[in-house]
Order: sequence, then C-alpha cells, then structure tokens
Amino acid sequence: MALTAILLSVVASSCEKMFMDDDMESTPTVTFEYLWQQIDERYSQFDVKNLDWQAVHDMLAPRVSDDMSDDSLFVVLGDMLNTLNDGHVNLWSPVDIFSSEAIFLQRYGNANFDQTTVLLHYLRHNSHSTGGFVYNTVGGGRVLYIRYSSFMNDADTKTLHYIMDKYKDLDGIIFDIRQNGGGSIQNEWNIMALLPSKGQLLYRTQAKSGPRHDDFTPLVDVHAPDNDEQYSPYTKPFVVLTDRGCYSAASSFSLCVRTYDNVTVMGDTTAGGLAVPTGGALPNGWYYRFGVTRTIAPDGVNYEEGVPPDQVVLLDPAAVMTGHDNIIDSAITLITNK
Amino acid sequence: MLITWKQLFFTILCSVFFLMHCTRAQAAENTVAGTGEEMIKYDTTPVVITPYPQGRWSALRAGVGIGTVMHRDMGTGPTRYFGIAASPTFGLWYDRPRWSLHIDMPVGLGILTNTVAGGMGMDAYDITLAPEAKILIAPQREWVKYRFMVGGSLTDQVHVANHPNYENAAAGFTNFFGVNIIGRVERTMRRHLVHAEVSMMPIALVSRPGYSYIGNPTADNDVASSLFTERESFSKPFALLSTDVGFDFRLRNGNRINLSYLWRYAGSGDKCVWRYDHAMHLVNVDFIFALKLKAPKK
Repeated sequence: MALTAILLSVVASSCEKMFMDDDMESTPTVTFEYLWQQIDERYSQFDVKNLDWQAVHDMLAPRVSDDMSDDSLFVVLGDMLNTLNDGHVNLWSPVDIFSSEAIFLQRYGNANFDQTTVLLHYLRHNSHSTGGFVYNTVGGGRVLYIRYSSFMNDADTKTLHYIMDKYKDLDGIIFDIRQNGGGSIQNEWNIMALLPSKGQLLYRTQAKSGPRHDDFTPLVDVHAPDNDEQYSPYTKPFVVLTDRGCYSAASSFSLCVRTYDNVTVMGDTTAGGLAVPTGGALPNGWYYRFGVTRTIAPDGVNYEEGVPPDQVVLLDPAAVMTGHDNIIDSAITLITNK
Repeated sequence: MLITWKQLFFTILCSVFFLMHCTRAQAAENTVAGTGEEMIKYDTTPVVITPYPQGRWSALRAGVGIGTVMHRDMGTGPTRYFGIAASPTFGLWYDRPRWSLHIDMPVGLGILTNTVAGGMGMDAYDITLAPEAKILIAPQREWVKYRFMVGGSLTDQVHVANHPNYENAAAGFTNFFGVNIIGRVERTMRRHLVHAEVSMMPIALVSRPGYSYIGNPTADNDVASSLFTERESFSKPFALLSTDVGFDFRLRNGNRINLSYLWRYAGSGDKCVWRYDHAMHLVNVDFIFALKLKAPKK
C-alpha cells in the first residue's frame, strides 16, 4: 500500500504533462508567424484598412531568422504592426514598446488644442476640480467650460450632475475632450446618463467569431442609456469639442453624443479607434493587443478611422497668438446665439 | 479520439495496480501464516476494524492546502503560467459504516507568472472553486484492514484567471460541470487510516470564452456581458481527473487530522476554439471535527 501511495504521488506530480501538448517554441520565426496569424484571424478592421495582410507577411518574413536578436525581432514585428495604422495595436517587449506612428502623428501633428491658451485664458487660476472634471465659466460668465482630458478619469454621474446643477442657470456647456486618448467605456455611459435620452440608436457592434476577415457575430444594436431617475437630464446646448487626439472611448463618445438633440460636436475629426482591444502573449513571452470588435454608426459607416464633427472648426494659430482658442469661442457663440 | 491512448492506458494501469495490490494484501491477511492455507473466518470474534464509530456521526472539515498551480489558456497565449496556490477547504461529512456523504467546498487561490524564459515575468491570478457532493459506498459488510469504496460525485469546477496585462482579455472564465466516478481504497493502521482515491469525470459540460475571447463590452455597459457572452459550451470526456493520497490520524476524542496529497487536472482538449489546461498539486492539512448527533430517544 505504501508503494502504491508512493507510486501515485510520483506519477501524479507530472501527470498533467501527459495530457498537455508541449509549449510552442519561442524562436523568432515561430513568434513572427504566431503574431501574424493571430492578427490575420482575430483583427477586426481589415475592411477599412485597405491592406493586403498576406503581402505584409511575404514582405517581412525574409527578414526573420532564428539567430536574430530581440532588438532586430522587435523592429520586424513593429514594422508589421505599423502597417495597420491602429492606435489599439501595441507590442510590449523587454527591449521596447511599439505604438502606431500614424496615430502619433495625427495626435501631435494635427493638434487643435493649445493647453497653455486654455489654462491661462479659459480655465484660469480660479478653475474648479471635481472628480475627473476641471471647469470654469467662460463667455462673460454665460457658458460653463468643462475640460475632460481622459476617459481614464472618473466620470461619476453624481459628480457631473453636481457640476451641471451648480451652473444650471447658464446658457449651456462646452465639454472639451480634445487630446483625450480614451479610457473606460463606463465613463461614457455615466456622462450620457445626464443627456436627454429618447432611447435612440447609438451604434451597432459585433465581435470576431472566426478566422476569416469577415467572420463576425450578428450586429447588436446599442441604444442610448436611460436617464438616471435621480437627476433631471441636461437639456440646454451641450457642445463637445474634438480633435485628432481623440481616440478610443473619446471617439466612441463623440459617435454616441451626435445622436442627442441638444448636442453639437465641433472641432476636427477624431483619430478613430472604436474597436475594443484584446491582449495576449507571444511564444517568446512578449505581449500584444489589437482590436477584435467593429462599431457601425446608424448611417451604416464604420468610423474606425475617425468620427467627423458636426461642425469643422480648426484651431487658428493667429488666434492662439492673441490668447484665444477660436474653437472654444465658436462654441460660445453657438451656445449664446441659441 | 475522445481520450488519448496514453490517458486511457495510464488510467487502466493505475486502477489495475490498485486492485491487484490490495487484493493480494487482503488474501495475505486471510492466509494462515506459513501454511498458505486460507483462513476461514467463522470465529465469533471477527477482526473487524472500522475507523469510524458505529452510530450516527457526522464531521465538519476545515483545512488548507499549499502547493502549485499551472494553467495554459490558448486564448491568451501559447505558454504556461505557473505559480503557488493556497486552497482553504470547508466541508460537511456524514459517515456511516458502509457509506459516506461528503460535501466539500475547496477554494484555490493562485499567483502565477509566465514561464517563458526571457519573457516579461507577467503575473496572473486565479481562483478555482470546486464544490463537490460525493457519495461513496463500501460493498463489503465487514472488512479487515482494507476497505474498498466506489461512488460518485457532482462537481462544478469554476476557474477565473486574471491577466492584468491583457486588457479586455484579462479575465477568463472556465467552467466544468459533471459527475465523477470515484474509486477509493482505505487501509487501517491501528486507529488510523491511509487512503488513496482516484476520481474521473466521464463526461463534463464545459463552458469557455468564445472566439474573440472577450465578450463585447461595447454591446452594453454591463461588465458581466464581457465575461459571459461570446462563449461556447461543449461536452468533453475525461475533462477532470484527480487523485488523493493521504493519512488520517484519528485522535482519541474522535476528531481526525488528515494529511494528503491532491492532484487535480482539468482540460478542454481540442474540443473548443482555445485549448485550456489547468492543474494543481496540493499538500492538504484537514481538521475533521466529529459532530455528535443526538442519540435517538428510546
């Protein structure tokens, strides 16, 4: 019996190895092929990227060899991912981190936001901070300007309602999300809960369901959230400012709020990024992420490459020189003239 | 193939070895020493040793296991995560001379890291819940030193793994549900007991994340939809296997201390989109408190 117990103990200590396949090799060639295949089968935006993914593979594969260094492998994998021009496509390695060059250039090369001007002349020294929002009155005290710099910042419904209620006698609100790189989808819903909902269709969404580029789950309609019963919805003019620095949740928010009657989106087209990213590990232990869902607007368009505003207003450098943000000024004019 | 030849061979080999060894030992006990003749047990003083007192006893189990945990989920990556685990267990047992009912709730908590050399040492955390209601029956009316038990249990093993670096694929939820077939051998050593138990699930109902691995959080703002939509369910033979070898110290006050080594494996095989494997090796210390029920009124 003791022998039985000992035998079982010894065997059981390695039993799972009998039932499991060996791990993948962690060589550069295996890692390259694995990442290429994962994107080929699970990436959701090939329809808007106008990209021959097989050609990308054929172009880069000759540069991969098992004796190459981690630095060299990172460069090749980065070149592969860079063809997607997607801010939700990233690679993390011990030697470096990859992010999209195109999104970087959009954000910083086309910025319609001058932080110094906004801080000095609109938020000013006596601005207020509540939760994730920084705000002050502008336009001669007739309009509330709220700066929301990241959807990672807490956007609690109660907090935002406090701010809105405090300034309920003003003519309207400017909600500035320029250069907002995104964050939590939940914060979008928290903000929209205070806008007057008709249950309107916001967008349709689907996720990858198979290895072919067009394998998706059925489209699911997403409607405007019901208004929070505790708070009266904000019905006065609500102007959202966007630019090419708006990505991910900020783009999604821009897409959603266009459907509200009292909302106007002003500024520049966003950088897009409506897909939800998923992550994973490579055979060599590096890890990555890329988008696996697709969002279709009510007009049937996939705005993955950017959500256009209702009114295009670009920042005028001459105005900035005089301490003015002409986009905010245009929003003030729009609100006060209504 | 539903089960590999390797798995089937191993299972049969262990089972046969069990039976042969214990049968030989039992025969040796029944043989008069030195003569090879079988001893006929008709005497009025049967050498019957039951480790459990006669009567209506129940027991409360409270224990903890320390050991290792491993999992690999192809939906998040092709490499294994390995780490340490702790598993507190609580249970309520009802033991009768020839059958027992055990209801146990083990909770496994693991801290793991990616095993690939030169990788980024990413951490993962997992929770394994495996509530089980087990019934074992001893076919023998009397037994000397060795007792065989067979039975089954209803188990639902829930495993949640969290990989913080994988964003919306951070949390993976996998579930195995089904009935186990159990074989158990016990041997008395004075007042104490040695046991060895093998459990396997002939058919499991398995639920795993689907193709995109995550749910679709843009479909609504319900966090649960990220975990429980876009899933696939399927049946898998021999998805759960476990062995348990241990020593039961019976104290003079009727309570017991059990030391055991537990191995548990759960695998999806290639029945789903993303193959899943999970294994735990635990050294358990259990305190089994005898609960005296009221004696029936005369």
